[in-house]
Amino acid sequence: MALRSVVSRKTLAPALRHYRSLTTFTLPDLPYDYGALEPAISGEIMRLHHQKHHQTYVTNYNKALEQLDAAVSKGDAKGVVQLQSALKFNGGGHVNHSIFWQNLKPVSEGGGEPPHGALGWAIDKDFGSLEALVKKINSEGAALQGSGWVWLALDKEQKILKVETTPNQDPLVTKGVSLVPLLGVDVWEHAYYLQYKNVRPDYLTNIWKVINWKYASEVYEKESA
Amino acid sequence: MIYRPPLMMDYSVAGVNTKLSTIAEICYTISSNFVVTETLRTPSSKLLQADTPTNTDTVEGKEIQKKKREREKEMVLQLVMAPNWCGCGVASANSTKISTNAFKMSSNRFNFSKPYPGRAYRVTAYYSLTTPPYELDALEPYMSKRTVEIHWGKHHNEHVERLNKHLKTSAFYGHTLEEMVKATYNNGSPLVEFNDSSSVWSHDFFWESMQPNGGSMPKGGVLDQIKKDFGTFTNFKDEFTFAALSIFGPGWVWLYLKKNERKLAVAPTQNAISPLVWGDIPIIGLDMWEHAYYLDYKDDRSAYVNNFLDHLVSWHSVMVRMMRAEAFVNLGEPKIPVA
Repeated sequence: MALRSVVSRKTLAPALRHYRSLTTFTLPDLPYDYGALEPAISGEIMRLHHQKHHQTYVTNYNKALEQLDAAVSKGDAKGVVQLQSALKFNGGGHVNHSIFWQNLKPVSEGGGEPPHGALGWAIDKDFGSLEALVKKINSEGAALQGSGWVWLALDKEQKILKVETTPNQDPLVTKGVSLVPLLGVDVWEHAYYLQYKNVRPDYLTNIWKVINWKYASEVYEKESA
Repeated sequence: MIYRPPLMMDYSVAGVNTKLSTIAEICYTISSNFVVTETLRTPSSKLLQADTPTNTDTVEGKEIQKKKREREKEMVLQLVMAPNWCGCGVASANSTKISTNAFKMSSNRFNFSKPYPGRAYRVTAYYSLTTPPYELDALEPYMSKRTVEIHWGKHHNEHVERLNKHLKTSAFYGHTLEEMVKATYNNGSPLVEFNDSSSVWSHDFFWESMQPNGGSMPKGGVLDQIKKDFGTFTNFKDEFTFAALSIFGPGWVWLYLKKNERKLAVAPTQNAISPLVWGDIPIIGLDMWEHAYYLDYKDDRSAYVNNFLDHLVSWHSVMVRMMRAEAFVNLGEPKIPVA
């Protein structure tokens, strides 16, 4: 009995100290094969993009979260602030790429099919036509200097669709808290270089063949409800 | 009718960086009814004036006409023959008159840019793409010919062309590239010309930071300075590599000389920023944008940086740059070698 109380006290103490466990993230699986998006995006690019780049973001994000946890419990304000850029970069990379894999679909499973329903009408209302929207996203993507993302966003407050760009791995919310990403196009060089080399406009023209408008419509209908 | 030449017709393009080759086209504003009168020195001078035709009916008139033609021929030939006619202080005369006849006479020689008669032109001097000091496949196998071709021929070239496009309407036309980088950085709120001018400068610097059979160790004063500022040469390599891999997104990593503290240091930068913007002297620059290594190394950035340090970096360039830096930073008493 005495032994048990000693044991229970020992087990209680750590349980009290670490009552909050750290959630770590894992690399999500692709809902299609690496080569399924050919010839718009090559299998080699998809494999590297998913297994190397996205995995690195996940790994480093987890590391940063652990460091953040330690800094928070220690009350190290300077440490917490110093970690913010690593969190934004790696966390943003994880968030953005997770959306990106959903935004793509093989042609055989409906990739490239134009949006119907509510999203289709909203596009016509806010941009004139799907072609005009595609043209706008392509021009913003091509003009982006350095690395970043181009987004088709829904502004929940203003109830309007917008095209936004974010630099590096900044998630869309950095451009506005009421923005919801419907489609994101990765214009980092690793997303297209092996296949298209420096010709980013060709990549942007071709990616529309595998864009998953169904996912975008679902998100739109859910968020604008 | 008076035609006022555009403001950019300043022939004293003293700001052009003589290190880079320049493409200068001189054309003259001509018109079938006007005589161009310009001075080579000051742009604000004579404007296009209507030429009152000389009355060639009188003997006097004929003489005047003859003299006019002679002088015009002379002027045109002088202009054409002038060695440095891009304007750097050559101005052979205070004024040059070129009538359409004189122009036609010398049109064969004066055809710098295939002028169309009657069309207005202006003088412009732009930057052009400098060539790496080695053949495109000379850096194999550490940097493939394909990478150099695309990196230099497409990316670097694109920056030059975009810079020139900006310069057509920019207030920074005529600045040297280094001046332009510093000025357009605007202390952190970069102007539109910054990206392209800084990229052009950095890429020129990058190609010259490498050489075939580079890498290994520096010698002499350079090695001593590195040992003084980093402890050991390996420490320097480690710090350089760590900085290169720490960049979030596209950027560069630099070994640079701090002017005030008179020591070497390593720093990573984002996008197209270089130590020029904060006033220090770059010594080595390594492009960490993905296009610089992706074709050869895919995502393996540490292999790229290690190969750069071990096989590509040109310590000869470093030595020359340090020597040049001595003109701006007091690195100590010069050691006069004793024969």
